Amino acid sequence: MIADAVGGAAMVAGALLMLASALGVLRFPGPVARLHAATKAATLGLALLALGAGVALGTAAVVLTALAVAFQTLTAPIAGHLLARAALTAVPPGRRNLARDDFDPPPADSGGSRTPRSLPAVATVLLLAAAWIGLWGDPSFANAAAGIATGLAVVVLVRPPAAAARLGLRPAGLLRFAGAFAAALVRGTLAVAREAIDPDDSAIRQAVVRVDLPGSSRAALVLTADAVTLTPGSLTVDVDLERPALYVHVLHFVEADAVRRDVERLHAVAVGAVPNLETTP
Amino acid sequence: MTAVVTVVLGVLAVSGLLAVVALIRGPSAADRMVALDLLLLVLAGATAAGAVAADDGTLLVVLVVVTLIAFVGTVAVARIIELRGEAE
Repeated sequence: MIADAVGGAAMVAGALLMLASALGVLRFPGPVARLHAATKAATLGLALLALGAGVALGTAAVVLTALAVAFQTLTAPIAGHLLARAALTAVPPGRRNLARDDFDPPPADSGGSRTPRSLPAVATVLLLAAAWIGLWGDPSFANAAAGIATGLAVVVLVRPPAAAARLGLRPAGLLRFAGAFAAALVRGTLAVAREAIDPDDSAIRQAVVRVDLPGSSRAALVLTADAVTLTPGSLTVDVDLERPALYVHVLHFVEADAVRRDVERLHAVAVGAVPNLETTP
Repeated sequence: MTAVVTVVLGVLAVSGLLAVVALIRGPSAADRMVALDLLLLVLAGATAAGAVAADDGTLLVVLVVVTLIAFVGTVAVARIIELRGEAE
């Protein structure tokens, strides 16, 4: 009964966020501003809808929906970056309707020649087995055995690359970053939802600001890029790996220094999560 | 719970309709992709509500698949827009 009430409330909240997101996508000017509405509000909206349904349906359903939500939360910022960059590169610099425009990116796929370091095979197998059990929704012995067998088969046959191992991930710092990440998502969603409902659009003043983060490692740069996307009013458009920097699109541009301060604060939290990673040359 | 699910599905239906309007209005391919992505997420949300209505947790597997496909689709379209420009 309590599960029903909690699940129901979460689902109603999720549906309302979807509505706010749809209003934003319909009303905001230009594709990048619309991405602000779609990446933040819709992601949290789906998370609430899915987890609400999971809670109402029982333990196995929660595991399954948590998997979907985790995947959506991880991929939404990436899809957002790619689409925002594509939308901006498609329009010549003078015609982007931006109050400030630092966006002059290097061509795509410039620094992609490095092979990523592999996760230790054992960790990969365990991770895949956990996903397998989650998808079956039943942590029985047979499922665990089948999951491990599948994981082994994948590792032997595919040798999946993944960069996370032996790089000094700090669990406490990572947890703090996850907390900041979640808080940013909730704040970003509420801000965008308010914006989508508010009929006055005069406050929207878009701009792209380049934020240099000298000496930043690739991992910290990527974490920061994702966190920026989930923060109210800002969205990462592109990353410069050669001279570490982010191109950040903001919805309410006031001054470039304010944008830089916000990004540098997020970057400091990200560095706390992955302090020992290689730095870019 | 049925009343709640009805409300949720109603709100999602309106959201989906707005997404379709945005999809038709465009004007650029990127605008349309944002709308299409949203429509897919609305449908995923409706599937979750439908699973509760049908009291059937197996429907939730659809969520995992849809979130995966939404990502791959968006990335593919973003690449096309970037490589070919806005050919409208």
